[in-house]
Amino acid sequence: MVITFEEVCAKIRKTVRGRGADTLVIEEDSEFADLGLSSLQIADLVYGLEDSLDIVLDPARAADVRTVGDLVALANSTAANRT
Amino acid sequence: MTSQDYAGASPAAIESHYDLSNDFYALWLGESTVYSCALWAGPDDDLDTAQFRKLDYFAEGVRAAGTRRVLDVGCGWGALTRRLVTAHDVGRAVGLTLSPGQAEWIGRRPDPRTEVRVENWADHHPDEPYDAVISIGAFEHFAHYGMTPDARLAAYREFFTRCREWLPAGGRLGVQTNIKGNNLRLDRATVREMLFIVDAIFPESVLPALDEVIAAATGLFDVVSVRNDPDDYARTCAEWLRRLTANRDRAVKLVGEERTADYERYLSATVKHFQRRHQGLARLVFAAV
Repeated sequence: MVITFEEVCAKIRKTVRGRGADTLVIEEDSEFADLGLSSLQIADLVYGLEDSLDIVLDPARAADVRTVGDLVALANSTAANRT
Repeated sequence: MTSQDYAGASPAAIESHYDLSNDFYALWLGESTVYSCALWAGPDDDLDTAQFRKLDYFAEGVRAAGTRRVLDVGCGWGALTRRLVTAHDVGRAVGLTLSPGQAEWIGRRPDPRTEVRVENWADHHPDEPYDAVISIGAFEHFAHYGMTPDARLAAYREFFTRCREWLPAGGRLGVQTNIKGNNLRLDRATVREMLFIVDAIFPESVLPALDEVIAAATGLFDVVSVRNDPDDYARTCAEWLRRLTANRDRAVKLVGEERTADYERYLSATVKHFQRRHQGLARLVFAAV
């Protein structure tokens, strides 16, 4: 099972909520710092991804995630290497 | 102000929380009817004393005593405006709220020295300046969850700009607000509870970071004092929860089982969020420059 960039975008918009979600421009190279997500929104996004893919992201590798594309790649590589 | 500017939570969002039922809130807020963090002093303190201590802290911080006119932005059920005219010799205290229910409650105990207006601060155009401005527990509604940091800062900046226009140079502004805590390690249960509060309890609201509050005031106000009292809010919420639980049957009659349970859940979670420093409680005093 893999997750697509579009599915992650949908999860980002869901956690942002409301009017802000409609105007948010998200590209694969968008950095989370520039998207302005709070620690609560990032935690909600990460836990949501983990639940969807039945994975647990390695905190050290998650800390290196800068862009939305990085997160998609980390989630899918974690899912692929799941034992 | 332009039509692009955000002027805080909508009346509908405010009413959905604060107009739930005056009698419901009276069950657990105590005689002071103050719905914000108290200022506790010692283990034997009681809620009403701690709430009046908080009101006096801000009245003294903004040097309200003996002044002609003080504005309270987000006046709740009118405790601060009453306190200003009865205990601090303020000539006239004007309170702004977006809750018709709160205004109706205040109207039951009219005082010619106080005035309540159902009006957004962005629409407030007083005929003459104020000597001081206080805003307790309203700042959380000046931006909404999901706003970008830039948009939040612009909204906060608009509030400080308006406050600056209402005050003379040196005039003081007191602000109390929940703030983001510095413990960013959020476990799943905490995320779930925080999002429940975002979605079900305080729509169109968000906690500012302390540095955002101060950044928004830069160039308009000097910071006179800042304190962070998360343990005071943990204790306040715990006391509210104790009173709500003690009056549960009456609460259910007033707002129903589901809403009563929602408030128990929100208050219980909030106690933990303050204890674990996921949330803070800032009390700031500014001086207009």
